[in-house]
Order: sequence, then structure tokens, then C-alpha cells
Amino acid sequence: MTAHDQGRLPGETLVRLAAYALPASRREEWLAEWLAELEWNWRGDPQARRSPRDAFRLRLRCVGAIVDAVTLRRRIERGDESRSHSMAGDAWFAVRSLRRTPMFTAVVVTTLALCIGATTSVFSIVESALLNGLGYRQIDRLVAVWSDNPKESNDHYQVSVGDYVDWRARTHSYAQLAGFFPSWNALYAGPDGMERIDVGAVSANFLRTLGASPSLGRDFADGEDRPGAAGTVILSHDFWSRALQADPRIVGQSLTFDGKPYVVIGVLSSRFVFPQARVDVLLPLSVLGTYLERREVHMLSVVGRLRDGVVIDAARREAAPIAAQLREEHAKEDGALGITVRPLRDDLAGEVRRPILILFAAVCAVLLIGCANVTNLMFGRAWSRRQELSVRMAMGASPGAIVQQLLVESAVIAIASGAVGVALAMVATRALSSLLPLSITRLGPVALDGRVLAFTLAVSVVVTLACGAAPALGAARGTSGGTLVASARMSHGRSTRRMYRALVVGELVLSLVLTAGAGLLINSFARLSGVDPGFRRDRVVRMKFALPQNTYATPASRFRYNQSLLEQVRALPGVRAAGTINRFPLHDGMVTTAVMVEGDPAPPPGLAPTADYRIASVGYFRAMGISMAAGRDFAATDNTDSTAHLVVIVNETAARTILHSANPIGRRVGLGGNARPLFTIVGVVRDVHDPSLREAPRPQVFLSAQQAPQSGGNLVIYYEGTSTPIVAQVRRLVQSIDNGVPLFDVQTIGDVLDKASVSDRFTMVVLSAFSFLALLLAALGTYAVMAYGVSERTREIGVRMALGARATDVLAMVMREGAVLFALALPLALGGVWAGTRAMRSLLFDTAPDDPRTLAFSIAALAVATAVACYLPARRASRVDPTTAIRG
Amino acid sequence: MPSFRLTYPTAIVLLAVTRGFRHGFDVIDVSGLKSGTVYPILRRLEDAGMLRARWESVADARDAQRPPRRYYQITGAGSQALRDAHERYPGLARTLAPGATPATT
Repeated sequence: MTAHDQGRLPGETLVRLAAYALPASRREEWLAEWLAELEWNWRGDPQARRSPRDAFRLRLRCVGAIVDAVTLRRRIERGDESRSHSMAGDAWFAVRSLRRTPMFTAVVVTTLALCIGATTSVFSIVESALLNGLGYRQIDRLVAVWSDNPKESNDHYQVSVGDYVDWRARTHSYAQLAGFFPSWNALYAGPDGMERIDVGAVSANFLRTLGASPSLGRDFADGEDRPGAAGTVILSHDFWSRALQADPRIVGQSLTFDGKPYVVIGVLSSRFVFPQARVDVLLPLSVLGTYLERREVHMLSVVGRLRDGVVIDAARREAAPIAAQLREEHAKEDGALGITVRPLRDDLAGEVRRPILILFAAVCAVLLIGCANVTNLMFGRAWSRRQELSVRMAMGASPGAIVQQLLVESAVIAIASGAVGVALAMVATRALSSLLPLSITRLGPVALDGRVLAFTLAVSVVVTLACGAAPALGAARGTSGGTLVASARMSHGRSTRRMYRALVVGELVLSLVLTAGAGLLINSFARLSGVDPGFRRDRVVRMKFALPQNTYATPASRFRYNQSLLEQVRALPGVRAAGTINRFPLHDGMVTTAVMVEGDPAPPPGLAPTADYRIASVGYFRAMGISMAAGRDFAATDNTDSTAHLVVIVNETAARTILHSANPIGRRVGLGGNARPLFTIVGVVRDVHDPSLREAPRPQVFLSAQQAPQSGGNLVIYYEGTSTPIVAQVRRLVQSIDNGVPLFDVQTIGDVLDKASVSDRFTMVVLSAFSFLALLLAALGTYAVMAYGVSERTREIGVRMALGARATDVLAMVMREGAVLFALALPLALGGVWAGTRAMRSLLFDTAPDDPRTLAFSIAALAVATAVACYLPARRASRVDPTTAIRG
Repeated sequence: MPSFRLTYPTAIVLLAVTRGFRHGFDVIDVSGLKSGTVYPILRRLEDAGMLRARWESVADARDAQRPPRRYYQITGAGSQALRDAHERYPGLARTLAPGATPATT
């Protein structure tokens, strides 16, 4: 249906819209002229048959009405300045005038696009990691509740199930209080065999607390998390899609986990992010079995939704007396524990918050430097156009109209830069995502969504005002004198020149702060990479295996399996040593236990020294290259025979801090707060860095895997050649022994080490890139200002040379000016560095924030960049030909 | 208006009006110029006093059951400018579509 069928003429709408470009006083007449022409053209000859092609042609002709209206408006305004200026006209004009100066436009748009692009991609990380809601309702009402363990100076200490149940019964601050264990495992009997999956064990009110609900099916009902309740499971969107092909009829069907049937009651939405870890399914808390009863086992995380009107401080006040009651009632387990309440958002983003904020601050600094450059360029442009502007003012344009025109011009630049910047950000975000540490990506997808784009728009608008306003105002003031010809020869006013210099000094300051920051991170990363982890850095591969609980229910059966697996692995060609450990260093985290030394006085309740405990097999230390400092390694004779002792191996830190002896061989310890059984220390191993390379080794106690046979863990192999054939052989071997045992999570030791520093690497790489950009922009800014100064003083330089100054004198004069700028920047920059690097302290490893070498290097880098930026204009100045300069 | 620069398209528009193509759309049709070019030129020429714009009488328009159109007439200054333009652009007289005659309105 075309417009004219309904009485409208083709193109009439366009014409009527265009009329709005005109002032109301002229609109009627203008419209009447155009509409009459349209009417006559379309209906003037009643005999003529009009085809759709004709209608199209007419519409095309009406596009000219827009041009007509806009140009007419400009004519009206030129004749009558009392009327306000048309933005659309200015924009049109701006586009044309920017096209006339392609070099200027390209430099400005590139600078701003780079800065806006970088800012946008960092903001997309900020948004995903710190601001988005993770799929929870009103995330600001959610808190994380932890035990506070002053003894380990750990105020987010895992919570025992007993404490959680008591908190839930005794507190009134929370509408809901949920407990969960984020890293339980189960074996899933899928159509392709056994698969080991990650389980979040949750209390029944978990999803209700977070304010999330399954996108398919229903939530857990109260009571479904009690032991003895029928097995129910909620699937993650990912697991549902991956393992069940997103079967929409899955709800109500039964799946088997660890040999037990669970009825699927729901599927989570894809937006939902499980806190702390990635999980495949949610199972009720009852899956934790015997752990539910053991108050000394601290494994839960607790999240609460504050009741309406309750503030977080009220929840904290309420917690203190409850912690005191529990300390009294359960002196043995809760001896020294307090309660910490903190916003869930901080809690989830805790470790990544600071690096992200530092990167964001850095990218904002880059943006500022870019803006300073663009402001200087805009100043120059407004200056070089002063004659054009003077003409306009002479013709009656008000200063307001001039300012508006220049601001519209910078808006056009900002829009173009914003668009290019977003395109760059898309590329950068994709590139960055491969560098991003898991601790960030886990919090949600990093992407350019509506919020990020709104941010970019806001940045572009601010940039417009920041870069355009001062030059526009300056130009309006500068030209109001109306000196058309005289001004063409005049140079900049003193205040403008001061402004140029101030901006350059600001750029130098910011770029030195960034360079110093990046230098510190590079230094720190180098040191971190140089840390000896305490074990081999290559030719070791680790992989996990898991024994189904129902087939390997007894310790004896597990012992037999582990024994036979290790024997056959060791027999494989290329295997030099093999062993098992329940938790691998830098990978599986740590679990601590109280250590009581036989013969030492009993420590006060809850204050026994603790150590990380692990269960390792014969061959583990050899495979890892961890040598014995004293005593002996585990041996085949450390078994469950009635004659054998229970043995442990401790690390050097445990020997020193708990046993106060470098050679505690033969002494006996009780573990887990129990005086019995006693374990005899048979060896001391060298320390390893765990749970991260940054931290000093902690006390560790190793139990024998033969005396405490595990249903799985890490198989660790020291090999020769390459890992791939070894892994393939082990896979076949594990299949042949029992194809119900899955082998998964294969990593070389190199991968483990890389992953341990991925977050540091990310911050270092990105900050270095930013500091390079900052340095480049600052150098360009310095260059532009110096070059301008030289071109402005060509006559003066010519006179000097005519009076006998040599080329080297001129060179030195210009270089000295650059040195003055640098000298002005330096003290300010040192202050900035002092403040900026202090904020980075927690990111640095074994590097002082005021490391003098790094600082000296950064200053040198900036000095070189400034010198190069000054040298080029200085050389040009020294080659000035006095005769032409003076005559010109 | 002093120092009016008569561009080639401006000269063509002036010529078209002189030849009796009095309405904007007619000028567009005969000159082959775009509407976005012709109209701003007409406005400029009107401002410069080289063209005078009038409205057709309402009575005539009512007879034709069409709205009145705005038409343009050349002024003395316009004729002078056109003479100058013929000198400056010798081929000008041959530019309009050959044999084109204005509509009889």
C-alpha cells in the first residue's frame, strides 16, 4: 500500500518532515510551494497513468527538499542572528569541513577511537565481573556469610554444616540463608560411558535465596535436602545442552549419579552463574552424606538474602553474640570462630576486583591523554580557521553560534570515533577473552551489551565536551575583536600557549604513572615466573581418575585398584616415575587439619596448629621431583598390615613451625583434633609453593595412600619424550583395567604453572599495552606542540640565525624548551607514581611499589620519548634558512 | 547583493526561468539538475534580487482544482546577470533540453 492511495502524495511525508528544519515563520510558505509542486506533478494531468516507478522518482526528488530546507535555514540564520542556530545544519557543515582536512580528521578519529575502544573493552570486563547481576535478583541484598578464623587469619573460612544449621535457626536478619558446597563430584552414567561431573551441593532454598528459578521445571522443595528424601536434581543449562541435547521432556526422567537414581526436576537458565565454581548439576545438600554430621569439617559456603529493611551492619551486629554462643556450646570445634558478613558481590569478585579497577583507572588515564592531544589539535584547528570564523562573525554570527558550530563539529568527531571505537572494542574483547583468567570469565560472559554501549556513548559525549569546549570558547573570544587581516599574522595568545603546555605536561605525568605501573608489573611477573615452585617444571603430566563408589566400596578394593594402576603405568615405555596424590599443588586448593604433637602440651581449644594435609602414594615425590630433606619416602611396606605403623611425611615448614625441629623423624602426631591414632613421622620433604606461587610455603602433612586408599585423585607421571603418547597409553590402560573408571582433566605441569599465573599475566600484558599507548600519545602530543611552536617562531629563529646563531644553538634552544616541559612534569609525575603504585601493592610479587630501578627505567623511557618528540621539530628549526624566514 | 558569483548551474536555472520554465519542478525537469541543487539556487537568486517569486491567484487554482503554485520571474538584475553568464559560459544557450517548451500554465 503506497502513500498516495491514502490521499498522501509520494514524498509528502519527507517534505513535511524536512519543513521542521525551518523556523516556524517560514515553514508554511515553504511547505505550500513544495506540496503544490508535488500535487501538480502527480495529479496535474488526470489522463496520465502513474506507475510505481514514477512514485519512486518523485520520492527521490523530495530528498532534495531536505537539502533545500537545511540550506534555506542557514541562509536565514546568516541574515538573522537573533534566531537560534540549527544543529543539523552545523552537523552538515561540520562533515563537509572535516572532509576538507582529511589528515586532521584521521589523526583525531584514530586517537579517540583507540582510546574509546580500549576504554570500552575494559569496561566490558568491569561490567561483567563487578557490575552485572549474575542472574540473581537484587544482588545488592545478598551477603556472603563466613566463619572468621583468627588463628589462620582467614575471615572467609568455610562453614561447617552444624554452624550453618545453627545460624539459620538463630538469626533473624535474613529472609533466606542458604548453604552450598561448590565443588562436589559425581560419576554420571551417560550413554557414552562414565563421566565425572562437577556438582554443586545446595540447600533446598539455595535458588530462592539468590532469587533465581529454573527456566524449565521447578525448584527444590523444602525438605528435599534432608537425608532420606527421594533423589532430585536440577541441571545446569550447559550440562542439559551438552549431555542431554537440550531435551525439553527431560523433567521427570531419572538420571544416575554415583550409581544412584535422581529425578530431574528442573533446568537452570543460561544466564545463571553458580557462585565460586562451574557446576554441571545441583544436588541437594544431603549428597554430602557423613559430612553433614561432622562439625569439625568446614566445607560450606553460605549466602543470605537480607530481610527487607535490614542493613548489612544489623546482620553483623546480630552475628557477634550468636558466634559467642556457638563458641561456648561447641568449644572443641568452634573454639575461636567468629562470623563474617560481607556483600556477596565483593565476595565473588574479591580477588579480581583490584586488578580490574587498576586496569580501568589505567585505561581512563589513556583516554585522558588522548583527549588532551585531541584538545590541542582542536585548538590548532580553531586557530587556523580564525579567518573563516572572523568572516562569519563580521557577517553577524554571534559568539554563541560559533561555539555551537565548533561543538557540533567535535560531536561529529566523537560520534565517528565512538563508532570506530566500538568496532575496535569488539575485536579487542574477542582477543582479550582468550587471555582472561578464569576468575573473571566465571563471573559471566564478557561481551559488549547494551550497558557497555551506553557507557561508550556517555564517554563519547563527555569527550566531545572535554575536547571541544575550550577551543570553541577560545575561538569565539579570540575572534570577537573582528580583526580579519591583522589576526592572520598574529600568533597565539599567551594563555593559549600556556594551555597547550599544561596539557602536554599532564600527558607526560599520566604516561609516566602508567609506565611505572606497567614496569612494576613486568618486574613482578618476571619474579613470579622465576619462583622455584619446589617441583619439576616440565616432563610431568597429571590427570584425574575417579572410582565409582558402589564398585569400590571397601578400602581393600580401592587399594587393589590403585596398586595395580600404578604398577602397570610404571611398566609403560617412557614412564620414569608415577604416583598419586589426592590434591595437586596449585590446582586443587588445600584443606587444613589440626595437628597435635605427641608430648607437647595440649593447646587451648580451637588453637591447635594446622597443616594442609594430603594423601600421596609411593612414587609421588619422585615423579614431582620433590626431594627428601630428611628421613625416607613412603615405601611399599607402609601398608595396612597389622604390624605396620601409620606413617606421615611432613614438609620443611611443618617441621620448623609445628615440630620446631629440622629432623623430627620418629616423632608422632595426631590429626584432625584427635589424639588417636598416632602417625609416625618417617620423612621430611622440601617445600612447594601452594596454593599459589605468590604465597610462602605452608605447613603440609602427607598421609600414605596405601594406608588411606582413595577413590581417585591425581595420577602424576614423570615421563621422557612427549606427553601425548603417554596420555594415550594411560587412557587405554585405564579402560582395560575397568572401563567404568573415567580419566579426565589432563594437564601438563607447564599448563598448571601457566594457569597459576594467568591472572598476573593478564594484568601485566594489558597494562603494558596501555602504557605503551600512553607513551606514544604523550610523545605525539609533545611533538605536535613543539612543532607548532617552531613553525610559529620561524621568523624569530631566522632573525637569530641572521644575527649569528648557529644551527646547534637553535637545536639546543628548542630541545631546552622540551626539557623544561619534562622538568615541570617530573615532580608531579613522581607524586602520581607514588600514589598510583601504592594502590597496586597487592598485585605485586616480591617487588616494592617504589622499586627504584623500575622507576628509573620508566623515567628514562619517557625522557627518550620526549627527546625524540622534541628533536624532530628542533632539527627542522635548525635548518631554517634565515633569508626566506625573515622575508616570509 | 554585491559580488554574486554566478556558477554554471545557477546560470542554467536563470536561463530556464527566462525560457518560461517558471516552477521549481519544471526547472528541474528541463535542466536535468537535482532538486537539492535547483531549489537552493532559486532561493539564492531570489535573495540576490535576480528572481522574483509570486503565487498564482487562488481563483485560477480553484478552477483547476489544484493548489496555487509559486512561480519565478526574472528581474532586470537577473537579465543582466544572464547576459554576463552567456559571455562567461559560451555553450550555455545549448544546455537546456532541445525543443523543450514550458508547460502551458
